[in-house]
Amino acid sequence: MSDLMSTGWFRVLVALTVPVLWGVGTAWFFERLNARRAALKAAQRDVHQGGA
Amino acid sequence: MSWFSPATYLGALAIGLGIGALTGMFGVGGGFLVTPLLNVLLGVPMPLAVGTGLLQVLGTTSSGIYLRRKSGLIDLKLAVTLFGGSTVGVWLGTATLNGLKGAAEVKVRGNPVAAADLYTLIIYVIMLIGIAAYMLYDTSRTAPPEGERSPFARIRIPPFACYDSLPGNALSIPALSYFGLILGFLTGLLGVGGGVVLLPALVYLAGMRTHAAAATSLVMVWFSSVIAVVGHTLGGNTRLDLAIPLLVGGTVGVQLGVAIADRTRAAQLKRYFAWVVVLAVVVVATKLLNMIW
Repeated sequence: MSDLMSTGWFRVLVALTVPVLWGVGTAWFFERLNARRAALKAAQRDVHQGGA
Repeated sequence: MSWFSPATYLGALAIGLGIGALTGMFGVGGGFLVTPLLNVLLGVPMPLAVGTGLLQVLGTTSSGIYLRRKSGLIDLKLAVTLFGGSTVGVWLGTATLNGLKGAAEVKVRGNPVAAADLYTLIIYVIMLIGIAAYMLYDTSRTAPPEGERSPFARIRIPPFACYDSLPGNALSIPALSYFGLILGFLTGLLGVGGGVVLLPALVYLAGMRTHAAAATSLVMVWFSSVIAVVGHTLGGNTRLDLAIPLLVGGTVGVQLGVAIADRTRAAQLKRYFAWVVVLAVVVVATKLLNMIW
């Protein structure tokens, strides 16, 4: 295992995986967060319009 | 592996935050600012700054591609054509930087200076001046009218290919490949994603619509940075411990930048961006002058 971790190709695999996972993961998170916020705003608007 | 000082990690977090804000505000990756700022402000040796900057570019472009995956704006065929030349360019750029890293120090006015730092900073100053001049010029310019033959379409070196994002324009594959080679060389040597050069080139030289050009350049930059990260990691030029604060700061910065951009007019944003690049030129040129004076 330690032999594998010390090879250049293992470092390449980690160097490629971490930024890609971080980039895609955060984009996915903020996409969902923004969608939830938009849905919440729409629901609040509907409540206000319904009450008027 | 020796660790950097806590101040360096905090500095990287701050640089990530600033670059992320620029990305959110102006839609550019900011890779062309990360590398010189790591070197000039934090004293990270140029080869390490280039490799680590590329990890940040990889994270930013992965995020951008994910968000545009359903937009239908990505011209994969064009990105792959450019990538053909870019692969060779990245390899040449990486080999050049590794060669400079192994080269003896250069004596400037009797003071020893690392060859990799000196030459890459000189190229950075020239490139940043070019980008700043273009940005300032671009604030008063409009995209060429549709249907007009673009400069790329006037190059008649066969074979040609038609692209979905460029209706009516058959483009020379060798011309696109050589252009990709130049971009790849910049990626390998300087750690810039190349989007800052590719995006205006696709709009003004190939006649592409801005949104399609932005989406396509993201894919091409992603491909190039993957190849460059492989080369630089094998050459010992990447530091994940320094890239993580850059990525974390960048994520927060993008959200701030988007919020600022929503309250600012597009033309005003372009002008602000040009002045940010001018500021970067001053910072990098000052470091270069200190080095050689």
